Amino acid sequence: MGYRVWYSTESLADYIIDNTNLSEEANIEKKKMYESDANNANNFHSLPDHIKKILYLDAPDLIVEKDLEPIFSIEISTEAGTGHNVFQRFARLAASVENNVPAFYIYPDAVIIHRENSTRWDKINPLIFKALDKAMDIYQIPALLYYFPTDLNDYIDNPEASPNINTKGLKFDANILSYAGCPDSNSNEMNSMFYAMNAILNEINTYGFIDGRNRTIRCHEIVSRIELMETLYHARVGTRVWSPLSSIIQVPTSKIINYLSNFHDSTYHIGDLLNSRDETIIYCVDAKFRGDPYPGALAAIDYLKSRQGKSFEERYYNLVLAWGKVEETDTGLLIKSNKTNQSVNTFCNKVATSEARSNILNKPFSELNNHEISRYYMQVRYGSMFSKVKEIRVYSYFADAILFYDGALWRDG
Amino acid sequence: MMVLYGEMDSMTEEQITKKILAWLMDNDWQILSYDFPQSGTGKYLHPNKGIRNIETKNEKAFIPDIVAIRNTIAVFFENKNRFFLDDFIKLKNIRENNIYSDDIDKLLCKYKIVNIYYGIAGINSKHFIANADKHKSDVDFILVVDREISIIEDEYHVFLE
Repeated sequence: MGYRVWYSTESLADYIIDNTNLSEEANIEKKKMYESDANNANNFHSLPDHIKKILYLDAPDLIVEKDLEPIFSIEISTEAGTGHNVFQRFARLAASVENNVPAFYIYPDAVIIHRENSTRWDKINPLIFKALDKAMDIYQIPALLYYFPTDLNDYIDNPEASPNINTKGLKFDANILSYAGCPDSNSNEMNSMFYAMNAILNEINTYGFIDGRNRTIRCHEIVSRIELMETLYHARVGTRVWSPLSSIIQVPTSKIINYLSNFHDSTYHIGDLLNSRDETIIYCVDAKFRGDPYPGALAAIDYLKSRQGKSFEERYYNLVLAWGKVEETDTGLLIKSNKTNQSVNTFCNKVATSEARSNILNKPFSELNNHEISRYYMQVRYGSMFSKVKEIRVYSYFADAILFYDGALWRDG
Repeated sequence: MMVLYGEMDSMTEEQITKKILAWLMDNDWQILSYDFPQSGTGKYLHPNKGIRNIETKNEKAFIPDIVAIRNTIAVFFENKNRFFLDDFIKLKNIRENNIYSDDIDKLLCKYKIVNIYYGIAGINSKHFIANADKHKSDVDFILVVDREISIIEDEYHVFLE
């Protein structure tokens, strides 16, 4: 037993081990993490069950565990966090926190973007701080954002002069041979993050997993960060309606029920779940049916607007995803499509393709290759839970219903 | 088109890239950019205007695994832990059609670069070497990695001291 660090890149594993108290541990093992059965059929099934559960919605970049208990996870991005983009990884953070595992999110405060006639800093959407705060409030487990260090403060008015303009203003660690792709470990932000990670390690070493993990939300280093995140949110949010909340509408649930009646006959009655909430939040996506950044944005909307408890059953409002141009009428909804791939069959085809490619449950034993025996047994237990593509997994986990112009899918309970 | 041949060695693409980076730095090359899966560090080079698909901004973007310079020479690497025919074809097309020249010029404009060379780094296995040999005319150099770096193709003597 001892510590295990599950990683997407080995550099990040070394970076975290070398910069935290993990460096003092003698018994530490690094292991490659595989995202899902959908994208790594040869290896995913061999991951421990508790790791699979964290990966169910989407895979973080790193998970640290001790004696088979996950201690914290890390997600790291170097993208510009404008609009929906900063939420692209939110489902990973949600999966971690929903499994009572503290989550760290490393994201740049701004990134230099070159446009036709200008070079400028694209800054982070502050709503991410609110979404993380709501997740922490519900689970009482830290979900902390630390800025990937950049030249923003020193070159805010002249990004062209940034010494790191080749890396979009991002400051990477100088030791690229050991820590390729990792943030500058000398920065204040990363040092604050290492302190917070050490605080979690100390709590767990002192009080054990259950008590230790429950105490982390009250650690001084973590309380200070939560307060700072709140300050950063208020400093920037203003009165603007930020993405993805600029893409939602709130309607009486009766209009949803009415819309769904287009797709079932009068002998069928919609179940209790949708009807139990008077109002419904609809996330309207007028784009081709696809994945990123929408799965993460849907997860964030759940925490920002509808979630009140630890599962989707505990919501103030139904959460519904609609593909196409949505119009609210006096009695119901109209959904029009002016793009290809907005049909319910785009969804169904994606599910069918995924099943055809990944599901091996129809194979007789004699046709199973060595590595497929354990994979087959996993699928016997979990079906295609880990085998569908990410967006299908995330949409069907978070959305109480998905509406299309020509069909709909919904939960009855 | 995606053609994979033979075994997947236990060495990852990340490890190959880091070994090549260390070797280049030891040999006085300056690293301008590097990338490996999930590193988030890559430099996106977009096709020249006119052939760019503006609907999807990263359509056909080329993210070299390593760009390094020494004196008047720049080298662009694609690295893999298996034989990957697509990489050879991609570099051949870039060499012949020059479709990323605007962004490459922008990346290299601060340096006095006279020649640019494109090549592959892979694992040191019989399988990789045999298959790479069949496609060596598509690229300017081929390196293989295990504990050491070996040069198996370098028509223009790019890596001579």
